[in-house]
Amino acid sequence: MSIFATNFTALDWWIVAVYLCAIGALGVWVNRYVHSVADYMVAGRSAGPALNVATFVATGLCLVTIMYSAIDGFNRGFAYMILGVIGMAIGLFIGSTGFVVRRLRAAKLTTLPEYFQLRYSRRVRVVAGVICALAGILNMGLFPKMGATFITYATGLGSAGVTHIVVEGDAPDRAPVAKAADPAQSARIAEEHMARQRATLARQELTVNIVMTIILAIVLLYTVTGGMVAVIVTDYTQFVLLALGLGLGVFYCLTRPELGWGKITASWQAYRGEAAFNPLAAGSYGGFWVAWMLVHFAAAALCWAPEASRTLTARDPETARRTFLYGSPGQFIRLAIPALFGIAAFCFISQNQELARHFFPEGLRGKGVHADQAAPLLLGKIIPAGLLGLVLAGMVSALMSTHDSYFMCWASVIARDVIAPLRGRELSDREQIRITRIIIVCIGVFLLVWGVWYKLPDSVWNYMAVTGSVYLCGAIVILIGGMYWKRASSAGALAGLLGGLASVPIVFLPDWFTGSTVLMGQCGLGNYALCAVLFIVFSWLFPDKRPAAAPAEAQP
Amino acid sequence: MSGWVTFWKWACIVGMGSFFAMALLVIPFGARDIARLFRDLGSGGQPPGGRQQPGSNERPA
Repeated sequence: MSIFATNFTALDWWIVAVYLCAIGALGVWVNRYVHSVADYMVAGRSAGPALNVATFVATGLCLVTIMYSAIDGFNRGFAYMILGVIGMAIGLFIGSTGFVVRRLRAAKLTTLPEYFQLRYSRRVRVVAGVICALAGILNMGLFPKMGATFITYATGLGSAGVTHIVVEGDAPDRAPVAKAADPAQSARIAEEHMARQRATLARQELTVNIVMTIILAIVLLYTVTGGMVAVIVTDYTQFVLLALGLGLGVFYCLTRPELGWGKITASWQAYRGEAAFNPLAAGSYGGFWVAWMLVHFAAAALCWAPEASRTLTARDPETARRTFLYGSPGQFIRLAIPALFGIAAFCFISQNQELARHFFPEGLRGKGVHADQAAPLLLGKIIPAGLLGLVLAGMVSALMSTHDSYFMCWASVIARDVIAPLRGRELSDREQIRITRIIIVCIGVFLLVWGVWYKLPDSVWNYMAVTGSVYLCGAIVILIGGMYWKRASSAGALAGLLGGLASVPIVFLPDWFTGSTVLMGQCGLGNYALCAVLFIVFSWLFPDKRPAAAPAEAQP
Repeated sequence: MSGWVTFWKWACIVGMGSFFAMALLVIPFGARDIARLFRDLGSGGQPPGGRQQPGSNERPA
């Protein structure tokens, strides 16, 4: 039996298929409630607190979040959970104080860059819209691929065509240890083995790409037709399944005889030592990276369009504040539970020689490979048939709920903050909705191409953080500066926003750089500092001619 | 190191416990909010602070 085989059965396929059909139909059905652009883009600003919390958590908990957290959990252990602690602390702070979010919601905006026009100028809004969309779409680039990888390995699709057990190494450029005495025969066996390996990898890649295409098509269908109403309603459904799926995953990780809290922590202590638990220890993330994440999470909570849109869809400013407060545990679990899956996968693999050879060719103390396969494979092996279908439906929900929100957000930003201002006139509702739908489809096509072409980096989380920085570094500076500093000017805002572009080249740097948490932490913090300095200096040098609008006046 | 193990144990208990408790509340109340959302959207009525926004120059159908 292949090491990629899982407990996934026909019953589980039926569960997932029924769920996918139901969610697609639901999304199309709610189209009847969309009457205006406000309905389409911010669901009429009618979402109550519980519904807003559900969609807030579902949006933040994408399958790609599960994947990159599981990968880092698998590679670095419990230390990764510090991100969950940071996320929860920031959620509690914003939720307790209403910092920024109350004022944003009070301004009755549809997108965040609208605020920049009200506070600064139309040019700042357009530049913010372009950079926001660029960062967001690049950030989203790996979502379909990562999600499809999870589905492929959790369902056992990754084992299709694998007819032999990998004995020694697994990379196509590594030959097995051939036992043949004849050197010529040995070379032939090695060559055949490598050819089989290449064919297997190609088949797995093809499977991932097909799964990615199907998922994208379903999400596009209901997002294009139903807009934000569909996004909110399906997000709620997906929240229910997600909570169930994550709960089942945690239950089996902690109760299986070969796993459990004691065995998991003991295996990490034995093979990785303190670095697996202490994020500041030598060999772990380090102080720069943790500090970068602290700033980055705060910026993302306030400015990252999919999360910020939950502020804008809230019924009133108080609901916006409470969304962050009640959603703060979600900020912890969205990173900690998937990390726990990766952490448990390490323990599981350490007890199985075949799996250990596949994932750790240099030994369990060495560098791991194929980390993206570990957590889905673990779940596929420890959760029984039937329940596995429910868990996978929950994970597919996680994939879809983030895709739909991201599609809506970036398309809304391009339509309202780039195209409409550049055309110099208000677009009608019908025009805005049509343009948004076309952009959503274009983003979907881009994701397919990017997902096939771009090679997964060693640390997917660092990729996500850097692409987010392109927009967040400048946006958070000019948002807070605009609200709380009267001297902030349009020139300063433009300089601050453009400073964020310094992060773009990092996306294309090799793994030795992007995989280094010290270098990434320094670059990330440096970019925030650069944007702040540019914003302050240019605001001092080039003040606006008209007096700055007070935040309360910055309302349409 | 045992201090860190204990810290993560309690972080998981508190974090996950509060999430699943929150989920138990959010699921029924979220369903109620969906019903209200459909009612607001279906009637074309105006919820508190809602449905008036810049750029919307057409009345709901």
